[in-house]
Amino acid sequence: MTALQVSNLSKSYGEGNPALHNLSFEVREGELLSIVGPSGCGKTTLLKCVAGLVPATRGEVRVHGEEVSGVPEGLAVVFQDYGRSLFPWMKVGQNVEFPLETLRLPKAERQERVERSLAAVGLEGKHERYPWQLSGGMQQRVAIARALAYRPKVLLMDEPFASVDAQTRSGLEDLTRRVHLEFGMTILFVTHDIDESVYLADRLVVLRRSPGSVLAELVIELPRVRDQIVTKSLPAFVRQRSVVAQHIKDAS
Amino acid sequence: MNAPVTTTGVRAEPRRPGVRRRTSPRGALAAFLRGTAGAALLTLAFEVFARLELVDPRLLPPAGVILGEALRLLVDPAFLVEVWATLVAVLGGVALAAAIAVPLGVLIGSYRLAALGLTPIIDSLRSVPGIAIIPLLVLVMGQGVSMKVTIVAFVAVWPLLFNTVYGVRGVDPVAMETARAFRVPVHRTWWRVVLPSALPLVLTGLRLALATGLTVGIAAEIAVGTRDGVGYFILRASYAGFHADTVFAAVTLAGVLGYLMNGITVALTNRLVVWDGKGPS
Ligand SMILES: Nc1ncnc2c1ncn2[C@@H]1O[C@H](COP(=O)(O)OP(=O)(O)O)[C@@H](O)[C@H]1O
Ligand SMILES: [Mg+2]
Repeated sequence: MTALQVSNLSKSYGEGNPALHNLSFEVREGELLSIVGPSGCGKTTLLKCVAGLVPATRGEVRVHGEEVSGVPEGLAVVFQDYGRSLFPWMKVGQNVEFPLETLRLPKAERQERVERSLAAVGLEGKHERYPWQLSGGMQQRVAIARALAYRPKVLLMDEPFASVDAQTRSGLEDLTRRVHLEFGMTILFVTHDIDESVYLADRLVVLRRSPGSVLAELVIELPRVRDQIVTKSLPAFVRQRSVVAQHIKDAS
Repeated sequence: MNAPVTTTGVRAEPRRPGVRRRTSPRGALAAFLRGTAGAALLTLAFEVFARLELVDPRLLPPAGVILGEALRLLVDPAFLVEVWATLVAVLGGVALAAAIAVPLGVLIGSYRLAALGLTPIIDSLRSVPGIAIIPLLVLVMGQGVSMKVTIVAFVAVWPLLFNTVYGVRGVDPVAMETARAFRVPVHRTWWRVVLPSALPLVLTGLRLALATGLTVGIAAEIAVGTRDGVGYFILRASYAGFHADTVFAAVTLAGVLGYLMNGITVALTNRLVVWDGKGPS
């Protein structure tokens, strides 16, 4: 089943300022698709078009068969800028619970989801803290917990780990793989980091710049359960990361 | 090979946990002592100047006499009743102003169309000096509390309105986009995202509104001879002849009242805005 279908998508910010040109790809249900490309190639724009946050100039996006006009139901976004995406006047628990109020869930169920998703990202017992009392990596985990508690069918992640240190980043990558397997949702993961894109993906789309368009698509042949050290030394990983790197080098 | 991390990462740097920008208790004490020292020095200078008797002491009593009179007024029910009357009018007027200005500010700050449509009216109303409409208000409403409340509201509405508009326009677009991505309805976004984010500026507006409201409220009491209030008390004391000490004491206490309202608003801000300077806004 196709969870997400992007067909001939183009987006310009005003006349003669194309950010995306004629993009097409699809994501199957339960798949983790990485989108990798250099800065400024339109990854964020693509993600916002998929989320219905900005309108496409041409072409269309379908989520579970429905054409996207506003933000579709059952979709959540983890933004790159977690520091600004979490609300500083809400405690961690309130931040996670806030979107659930819109789902009109009873209080008890909301509480339970907050507990479970904070536990899933290793932040149990941190409800009463404020986001700004936490480290950057922890803040991004709160943002992930917020998305998990929402139980989206489709999760969009926009370079979520670009501004945390390398060690925290590995941990967050493994967390992403783990919740993907555990919750089984479809994930569209955007990054400029080639290693990260290959390590996380079931399938991968490489974008070229000016304007952003699909350069290559490949299926990642790695075991479902991955390990930072073991997986990254597999010949398949090394080969595929070189293929992606070559594509990006050729395009620039 | 890898493109550089986008610049947005700069703002996303981990903030130092638990670090507050607010002054420490010791800093606050030092500031208080400095302030007290300044006031004491001024009082002393006043005292010395008055004791030189360059001006008739019946017109310019020494500071000590004024302070004594102020202390007497503080426990004098006849004076406290007037303070209460002024306070009711000022707080009522500012509350009325807030009830109008905050929703209107959210509207103007959120919608370009509202801003375009309302700006001409607001600009022309704002350029009317508040004091100038007092006679008109007296004509329509008489000299009672409703006139005072109205004039206070008229001058208090502007700082509240403009600060709310700036606060709303300053809401972080990422915060707004997050709310939109989770399909949070507009009204809930206003309550839970826009207003909290604008709150520091709204409270600044409140502080200014209280200060202006008190000034204009007392001015109105003096100008039209209302039947109550601190202004009325001052006016009566000055007409009674050679009660300069009472007049000075009442004026000083009016200043203290303004100082207290300011202090209470600052304390309220510190309580409500715990995230100050730590995230979007
Ligand atoms: N709101 C906007 N208005 C105008 N141009 C924009 C806007 N957002 C992005 N762009 C431009 O579109 C291009 C793609 O940006 P973006 O989608 O942010 O790329 P990426 O996320 O891959 O770094 C860039 O050239 C950027 O300057
Ligand atoms: Mg981006």
